[in-house]
Amino acid sequence: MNSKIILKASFFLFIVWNAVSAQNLLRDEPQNIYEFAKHLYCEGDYLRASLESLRLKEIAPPRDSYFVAGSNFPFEDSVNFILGKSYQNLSDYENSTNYFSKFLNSNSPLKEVAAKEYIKTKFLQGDELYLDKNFLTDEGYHLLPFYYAYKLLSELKSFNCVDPIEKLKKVEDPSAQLFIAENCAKLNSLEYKSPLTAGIFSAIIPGSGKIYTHNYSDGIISFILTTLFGYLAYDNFKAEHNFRGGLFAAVGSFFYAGNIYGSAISAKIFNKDMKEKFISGLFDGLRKNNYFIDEVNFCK
Amino acid sequence: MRVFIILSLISFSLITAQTSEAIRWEKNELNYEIPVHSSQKEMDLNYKSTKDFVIKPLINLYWLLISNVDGDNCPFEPSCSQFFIDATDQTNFLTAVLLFSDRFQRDSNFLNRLKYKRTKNHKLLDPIQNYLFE
Repeated sequence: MNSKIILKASFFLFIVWNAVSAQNLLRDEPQNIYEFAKHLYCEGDYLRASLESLRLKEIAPPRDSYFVAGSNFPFEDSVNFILGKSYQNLSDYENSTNYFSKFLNSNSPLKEVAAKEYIKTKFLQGDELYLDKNFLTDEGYHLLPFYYAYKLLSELKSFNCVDPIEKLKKVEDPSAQLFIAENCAKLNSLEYKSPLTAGIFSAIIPGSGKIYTHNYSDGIISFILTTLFGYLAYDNFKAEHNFRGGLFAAVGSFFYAGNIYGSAISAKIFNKDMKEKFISGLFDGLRKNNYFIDEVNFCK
Repeated sequence: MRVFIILSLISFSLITAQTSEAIRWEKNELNYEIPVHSSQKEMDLNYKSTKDFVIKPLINLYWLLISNVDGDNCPFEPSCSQFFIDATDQTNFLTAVLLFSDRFQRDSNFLNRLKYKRTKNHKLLDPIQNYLFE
């Protein structure tokens, strides 16, 4: 009887152990880690995609000729590209450029796209875009038009666009040329408000500085408050109620001075909002055009 | 014996489930009053620095004459007095007074509410950082 139970239990344990160990083996297979990292990347879980890709690099050392099943690119390239893109999406530009730079002097089929992604990351990083020595190779020169496009975009990002026609000739892609020209025109047509003018307006007519910066209701309220207390002060002084007159004059002056300073600040806020809207429109357009980079679709 | 154990297990789980349901659905006393968080501000009479001797009497006077009378009606977060305290911390006294005056005038405007973001307390988010420029 006991031996029968032991036999049954052993059989059951054997099946369970087999199933569990099979799962573990499958989980650590490079093919499956790659598929999982790719899945996470496609789902937008860039942090876990980068962690899985790093785990994959640890488990499976680089082998140039090794193609992962289901991938059109060599294993090492695919993983480096996913890492570069994941870090780029996580705004970790240092690590992103590090992985994309691995492609620059290689024979990878992803080289051109990765080089463009490298330039894009440098652009996103906010540093002034400069010609990296890695591009000064004979085969890198065909990327120069793309680099010039990003150089102009970088200038636009810094709210600077002087003499674009000459510079645009170096950008060969007509859609990029059009996009940059349009945004340059948009930048040059921005009408900034002068804080000094706003302050002077409010000093002459209380609240008019705020109206000048399109804060209409704030301007009207400031006008009402300042003139009301000004009138009360005048009326009380006229009736020889000097204490009350002084009190109203003090409150009126407090509002008057605050409104002048507030109008100058309001002009600065107006300019800041306008710049933010411009940047937001620029990046929306870039996203719509996929940053003028051909998409490597890992997610199909 | 086996039947007895199974029956007791089933009946026990049924009874405990019933008890938790009964607690969940018992009658509750309702209170429709809106809780008042801080209508009265306590005066801060703790003076530690020279700056405190200048700013704290002004704040206390503002609380006594305006804030406490007005109640919990300030639409902004931080409140005007806190805005002034933050302004004195991050700028000089004169700039802080001018910023406070501007804030006080915006406080009186009922038509500008849409341009501010709302906090979770439905107050208008308007910190001093929005008005500091290099």
